[in-house]
Amino acid sequence: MARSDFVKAVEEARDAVAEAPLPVAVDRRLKARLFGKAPAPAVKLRWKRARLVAVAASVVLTAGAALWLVTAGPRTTGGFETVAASGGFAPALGAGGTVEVAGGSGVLRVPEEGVSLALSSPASLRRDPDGVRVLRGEVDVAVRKRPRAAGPVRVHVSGGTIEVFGTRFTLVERGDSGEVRLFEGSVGFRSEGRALEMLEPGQTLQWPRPPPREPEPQPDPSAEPEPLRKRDVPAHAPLEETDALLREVASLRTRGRYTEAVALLDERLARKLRPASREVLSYELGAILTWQLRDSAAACAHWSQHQRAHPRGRFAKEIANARRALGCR
Amino acid sequence: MSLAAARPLERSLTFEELYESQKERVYRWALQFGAGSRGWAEDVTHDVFIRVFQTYDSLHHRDDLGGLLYRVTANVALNRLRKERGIFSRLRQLLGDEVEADPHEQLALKETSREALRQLEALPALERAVLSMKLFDGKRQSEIAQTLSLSEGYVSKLLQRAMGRIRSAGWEVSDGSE
Repeated sequence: MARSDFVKAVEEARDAVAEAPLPVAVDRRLKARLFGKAPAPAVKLRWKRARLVAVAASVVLTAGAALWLVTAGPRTTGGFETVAASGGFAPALGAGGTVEVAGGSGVLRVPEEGVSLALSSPASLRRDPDGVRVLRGEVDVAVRKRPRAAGPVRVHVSGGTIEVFGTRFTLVERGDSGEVRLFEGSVGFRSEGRALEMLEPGQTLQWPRPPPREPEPQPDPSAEPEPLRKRDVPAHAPLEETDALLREVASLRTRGRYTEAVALLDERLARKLRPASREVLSYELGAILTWQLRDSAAACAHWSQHQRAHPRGRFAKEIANARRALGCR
Repeated sequence: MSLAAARPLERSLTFEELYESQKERVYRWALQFGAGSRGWAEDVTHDVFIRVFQTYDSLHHRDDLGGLLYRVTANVALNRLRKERGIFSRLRQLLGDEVEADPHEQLALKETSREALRQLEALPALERAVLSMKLFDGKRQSEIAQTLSLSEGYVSKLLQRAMGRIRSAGWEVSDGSE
């Protein structure tokens, strides 16, 4: 085969796609799927007849809508409000308050928690006192951003609990295993015997989680201490953890979630760290306080503390600029 | 409440109007991610609007509706591509459950372009999504990284890998594409 240029070939395809209109049949199907109705076919009516039909239809629709508003309201099943439905989506209440979805796809909402769940059949789920339990199925979850004081919304699955602070993710529950993939925001996964595991956007976590590692055997205090060998190193957080944290902080910064980034850095700086990692994380924290949160008092105090801890630090120039901009004494 | 009756966006735009004003561009993006497959693009367009509906209440704070829709389309498309790589989905395709007549026949394309789209389809899901965003939409690596919540370094690696596969399949890749 003669070697063709791939990029040029794709560019030609791109031009063809750019000219491709949304086919009428596709548009009609999409409307039927999204809004539960098919638009009327394009039949020409005489103007007077069309106007008469339109007036009659609007009267019927208005009366119908008024009647619906008075009598029906949004349909609620087992604590879930159905806000959108297509393809015969009809959640049914089963044993123990479980909501079963046997056909179609749609969106359920828990208004008081600010949670909405888009799901396709088959799926089953239940309202729990502190959130939602997904027993089976694939669910796209969106949670409106919540104040920290309100605590997380909890989505329970077979292998643990997803703690949500305002975010969008997809979860798949297979009964005894499953996975969660995070698109934006932050969620933590809590499973028995393990610390809360935080996910970054783009990350996937699967359950059941592997058992936690056995704790290191404690040294016998009565035993003679072993002399330090040259290769012994203190038990600091591994470098990969610091890298992951910096990525998470960067991600929060790009989304303007500075206070969360500060909380994350504060929490990590309270732990044992290698001096180089500590300096970088502390610098990040100072930079957010200075340039994003513009909290002069906190930033000046932080820079003083940083310079005491790292007197010959590698960010001296940047810190001098920051202090000048803040007017620190 | 139905989708059509959803609360208005920016006072005057109902969800149905949002659909009407944005359907063409969402469908085209979906076509690009689906390498020209119309059935696939239809499903992705549906899923995109369902997902947008989920966050519809907060949309009136959004200035960049186009950016939001592009991001949602890219992520919905990527999710679907990943699922289709699953063994059960492949089995269903083998059993003839989800076979679409050559989707590229439906677009007026030269044979070389059809071959290129087939080559694009053969790539792993993430490489395909990243390369589509670059070639079809001219997105920079930083924009791709932000849209798909990946690091720039990883996007660069994915593009290099994809181009490597394309070269080893016998294509030339002109300069400036990586």
